Amino acid sequence: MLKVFVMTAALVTCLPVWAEGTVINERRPLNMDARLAVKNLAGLIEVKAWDRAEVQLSGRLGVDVEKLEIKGDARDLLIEVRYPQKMRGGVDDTDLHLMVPAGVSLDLEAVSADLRVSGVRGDLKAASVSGDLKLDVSSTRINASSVSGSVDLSSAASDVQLTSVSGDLRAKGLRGMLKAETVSGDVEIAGGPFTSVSAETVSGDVALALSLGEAAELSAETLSGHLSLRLPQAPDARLIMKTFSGDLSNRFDRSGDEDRRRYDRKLGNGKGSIKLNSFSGDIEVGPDASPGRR
Amino acid sequence: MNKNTQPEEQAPIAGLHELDLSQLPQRDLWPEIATRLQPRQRRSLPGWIGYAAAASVLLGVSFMLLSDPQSLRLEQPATSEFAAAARPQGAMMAWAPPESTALVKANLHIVRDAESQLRHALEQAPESKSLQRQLQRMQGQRQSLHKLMQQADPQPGKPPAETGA
Repeated sequence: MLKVFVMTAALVTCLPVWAEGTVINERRPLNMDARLAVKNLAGLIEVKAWDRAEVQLSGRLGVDVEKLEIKGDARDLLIEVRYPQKMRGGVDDTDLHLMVPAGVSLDLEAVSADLRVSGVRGDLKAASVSGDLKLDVSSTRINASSVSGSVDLSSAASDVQLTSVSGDLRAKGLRGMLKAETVSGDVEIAGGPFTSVSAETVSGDVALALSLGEAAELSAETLSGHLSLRLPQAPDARLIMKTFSGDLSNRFDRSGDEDRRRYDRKLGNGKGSIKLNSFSGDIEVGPDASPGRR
Repeated sequence: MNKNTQPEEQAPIAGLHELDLSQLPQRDLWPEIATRLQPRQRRSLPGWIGYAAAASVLLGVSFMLLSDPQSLRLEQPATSEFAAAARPQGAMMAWAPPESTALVKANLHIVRDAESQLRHALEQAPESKSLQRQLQRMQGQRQSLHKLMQQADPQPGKPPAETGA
């Protein structure tokens, strides 16, 4: 009887711990310019930078996690949350909080987990299916993608690709080269100077408030979204706008004799190229009224 | 031995039939034959044709560049190889909960719907390069979402793919 009582008491005592999952606290040496890959199905991957040559991992594993795998060395490390082969039903969240050397190259992958990265300056790849991505980094090269999650990027990166299906893509502070593609999400970009910009949506709106370098190339396309380009001044570029049934407007050109469906003019020295296409959405080009937001 | 074996064949040299072909020559005749043979002419194009072809290509490219400098630029170069790299996303989908799979499925519908809208638009503006490009992009998106769906529902007993650092 006493045995049953002790066992029951032990079980009741352990229950809250089991329900909350396993607390993790790990450290590994990691070079300042190492490559670090982190994979987490659900919950959160949060990465912050520090100036130590090691990675610190803290957080909590979900109750259904099979194991936390950490493999590799100080140059190339993988942290992966693994689950049993046969999973049924929902997944308990696993929260991973990492402190990493600022210069590491990151490769983050999630399904429903959110990704939050701040302070790093190495190359960054971040992908989630339904999780949101919030990136505030000093990286030069960034590739961020999601299916339905939104991407919020704040960076002076010069080589960036953002992709989603229905998630919104928002970026500020960028320069150099940018490619942003979505299907039904909205695209909102602020920054510059850019040398190359490509933005595409099918039904999402595109709002670009940016500056262009000399001989820059900008192309934006949408089927039914609204396309807006705001520039600090009239561009030195050949501007081509085309639409099938939308409206065109260029507030840098007040000549008023424009074709309603096609506009093709050389503005300034015409060295650059701006091509804006829509099928049924409106296209609007004009001065940026709020340059401060870049 | 070979003498008159094929009387129906006409000999290329008169009187050849009469010779005893089984008899071997008493000395090596080849060195003498070799000296009489003309060196074989290589059948090649005259050298000026090569120069002319190179000059034509150079002229053609120069003309294209001068008349339209953008004609040789790649369509939307945008980003580097790094940024354009395909996402490896997927191995974890084998563990994905039903709501994540349903979400991918819903997005697949969004892409299919976009494809159908683009096709409809292309019927009205068949020349539009922009619409053709967008349609191609949607087909790529559909394929990658299909791949995610397949990874979410692997064959029975097949574990998710191993990953390495």
